[in-house]
Amino acid sequence: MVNFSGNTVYRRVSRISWAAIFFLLSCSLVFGVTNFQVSLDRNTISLGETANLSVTFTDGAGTDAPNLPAIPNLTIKYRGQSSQVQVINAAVSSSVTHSFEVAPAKVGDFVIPAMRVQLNGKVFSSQPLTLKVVQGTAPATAEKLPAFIKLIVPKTQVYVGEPLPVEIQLYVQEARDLNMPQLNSEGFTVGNIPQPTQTRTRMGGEIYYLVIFKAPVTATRSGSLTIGPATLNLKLLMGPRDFFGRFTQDRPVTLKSEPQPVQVLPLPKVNQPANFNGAIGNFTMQFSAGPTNLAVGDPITLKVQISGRGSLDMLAMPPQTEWREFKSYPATSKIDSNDPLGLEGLKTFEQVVVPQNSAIKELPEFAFSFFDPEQKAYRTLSHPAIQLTVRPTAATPPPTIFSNNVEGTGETPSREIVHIKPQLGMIHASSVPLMQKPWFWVLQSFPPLLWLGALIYRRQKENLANNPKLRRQRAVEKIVGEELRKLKPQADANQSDEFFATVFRLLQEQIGERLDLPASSITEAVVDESLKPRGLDSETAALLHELFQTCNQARYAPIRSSQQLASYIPKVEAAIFQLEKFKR
Amino acid sequence: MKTLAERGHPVREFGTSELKPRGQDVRAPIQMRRLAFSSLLAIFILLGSMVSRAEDAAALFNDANKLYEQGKFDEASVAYEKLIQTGSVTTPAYFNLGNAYLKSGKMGRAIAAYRQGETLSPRDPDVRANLQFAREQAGGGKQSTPVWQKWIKRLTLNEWTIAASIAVSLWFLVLTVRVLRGGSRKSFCSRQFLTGLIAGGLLILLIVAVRLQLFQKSSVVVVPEAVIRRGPLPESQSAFTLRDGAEVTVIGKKGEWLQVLDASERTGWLPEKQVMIISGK
Repeated sequence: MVNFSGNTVYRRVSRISWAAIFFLLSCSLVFGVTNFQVSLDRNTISLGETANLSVTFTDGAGTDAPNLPAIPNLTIKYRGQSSQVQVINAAVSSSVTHSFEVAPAKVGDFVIPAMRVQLNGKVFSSQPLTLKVVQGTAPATAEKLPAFIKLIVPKTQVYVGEPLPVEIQLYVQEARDLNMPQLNSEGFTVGNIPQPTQTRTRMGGEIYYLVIFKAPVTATRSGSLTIGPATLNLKLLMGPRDFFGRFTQDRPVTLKSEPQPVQVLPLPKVNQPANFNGAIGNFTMQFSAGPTNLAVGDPITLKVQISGRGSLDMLAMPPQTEWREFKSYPATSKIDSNDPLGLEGLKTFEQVVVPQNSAIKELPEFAFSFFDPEQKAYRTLSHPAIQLTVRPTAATPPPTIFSNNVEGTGETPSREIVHIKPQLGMIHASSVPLMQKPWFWVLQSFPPLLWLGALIYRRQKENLANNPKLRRQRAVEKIVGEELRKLKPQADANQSDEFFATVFRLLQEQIGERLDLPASSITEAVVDESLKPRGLDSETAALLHELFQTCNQARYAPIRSSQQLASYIPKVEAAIFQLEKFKR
Repeated sequence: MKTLAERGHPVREFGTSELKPRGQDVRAPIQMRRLAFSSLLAIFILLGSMVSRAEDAAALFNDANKLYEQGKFDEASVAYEKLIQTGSVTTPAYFNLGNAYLKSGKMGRAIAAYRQGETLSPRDPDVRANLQFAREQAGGGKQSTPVWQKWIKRLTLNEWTIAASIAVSLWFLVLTVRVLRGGSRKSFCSRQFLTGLIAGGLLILLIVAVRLQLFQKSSVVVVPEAVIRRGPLPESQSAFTLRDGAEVTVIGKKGEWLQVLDASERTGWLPEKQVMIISGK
């Protein structure tokens, strides 16, 4: 029998885990798909600045730094390599990046040609890159400033609704508590600013950290507008350094960029297609539909894939005016984009349409129009009509379209709104919530009150069960009540014997209860022997004597008339009343 | 101890024998009949006025629908607003109002109307579809809602209230039965525990729903372009702009200025008249 201690188990699990990781890494390095990519951190820089060129090998064997071609007026220096391993959901990926510093010697456009490398027997090539070098826009004293920001607007002329990716570049040497920049942009809508990228650059002989914030900006009206200034708050580190070489002081500063003028043009009205719905950019389209052989009322699913550059969020399913013989349901959509600004990628729409009669022979031509700001013209992409075979059917129920993910995914734009409702529906008495209405709380208090009532009742019942005197008192109260009610009918019926027997029993029960004696043991003698010594007043004692004596006499000389019997009732009531007040 | 008088026996002063006047007993049924007749009359009048009010509201609704079908969206929206102001608060009224605003290009007001409709009928697919459409058209950004909040909002506040109320009442009834039966049997203990657990859970959900639907102030921008400023003054520096239809959460108020939080977690101030408050006190 093998006995594992806790440490042994831990060591074994640890070894197995490391072996699994090593195996995964090995597999990924051996069987991984090698990729090769060349990129610049920026496409536009000022003269005097440096750009960073990265050559990245993904999931491939380690490679040496590639030899870059010589480019006139462009100095390229190798800065070193870095490697990265990522494990995401058990998928392992690794990359090696070689960094180069690119320093231009003059203003102009430079092309870094495509590179070719051979890896694992295969030849990979990159795309050529363009670097634009402009005259320096940084302050003249830039090299002396510890931090400054620049607002980069790629175009100075845009159309209303055209997305414009602007950059806010922060050059800083040593700082902390960096806030997100604020962009003053009246006449524009600023979209979400994703996480910034960070690199290093040289300017005027100084090394800066360069933090680049990108934001999609869209003009909402035409005219000569201004983007910016951009402002950014941070704390600059300064003063003497401590033992570890860190600054010991900081100073909060607000950096402000120069505003950038932008001419915003309205979209041309001339040649605007009828089905244009505000899409601006440069797109391509793929269209498919199925099934094409179906019965009246059966759904056809349209799939429209629009890819390209433009505001994908704003892209809506193009309206089709020629589709009157089809019932359309709201479209759903999803976006596939690697662009952090969401300005480039693929948007897929899916929409269900239902043919309404069997005379339909084709799905009409599908058209999508957009405005191309580069061409300054409207363009229409279309897909030809698709032949359909629509069979008649006796009664085909309409398909059920569930729209329960309308909010959930955040991705369900519809081509057309659901039409107005014809019925007013149930009128809500008021918009005041139920819980703010007093009657609700009154109603709500019943169950707790019922419970409290039950508790009190239970408590009383228990008290009674544990208290014989109280129990007898209640029983006597009940007997007295019943017997008193009998007196009047007995008097009216002239039933003398029964009348006085009742009176006698009343007196016995009440006095017995007061003296805590059996009722049968009560006689007239008790009045003097027990009641008087305990403080019974003489008037009541006399009354009790009279009643006892009358009861005794009635046994031997039965009386009398109804009136005479009735005259005793008030006396009996008064005697009982006085006895009830008599304390034990 | 109860006295005879308290027990209902006719106790007179010692030696007297007067009874209550007999006519009193004869008059009581007549008064009861009068009271019953008055109550019935009041109920009939109330029902009549309710039916009449419902008919008036339906007529106003139909008139507004006609204007909408004629393409007079501005006039239709005015008619729907008038209908709602008369107290006819219904989901179709808000839904059609939203459609009318949407067709007249007032995205913010359309979104506000759809959201009012959504408050009344959170599971209505038509309202949700058109609200989503309006949001897409406005492109103003909507704050992402956690899944648990979406789940809570699938029921109206009144539905949560009724559910919690029934559960709590049931719990008290189980307690009452247990007290009256006077036992501590296991079956009763488990029932009491189960109903108490359900009641407690529903009460917690109700509190969350109240917090979300009564105390979280949400609003929609209803002007073509709202300049959000850093402070509650017209002279304050502008921070950013929001378009018609942008949905924001109100986090503060000063005079006629509201402090808002937008979908990008940016905060700023704007005049109250530039937004429409959807929910919250």
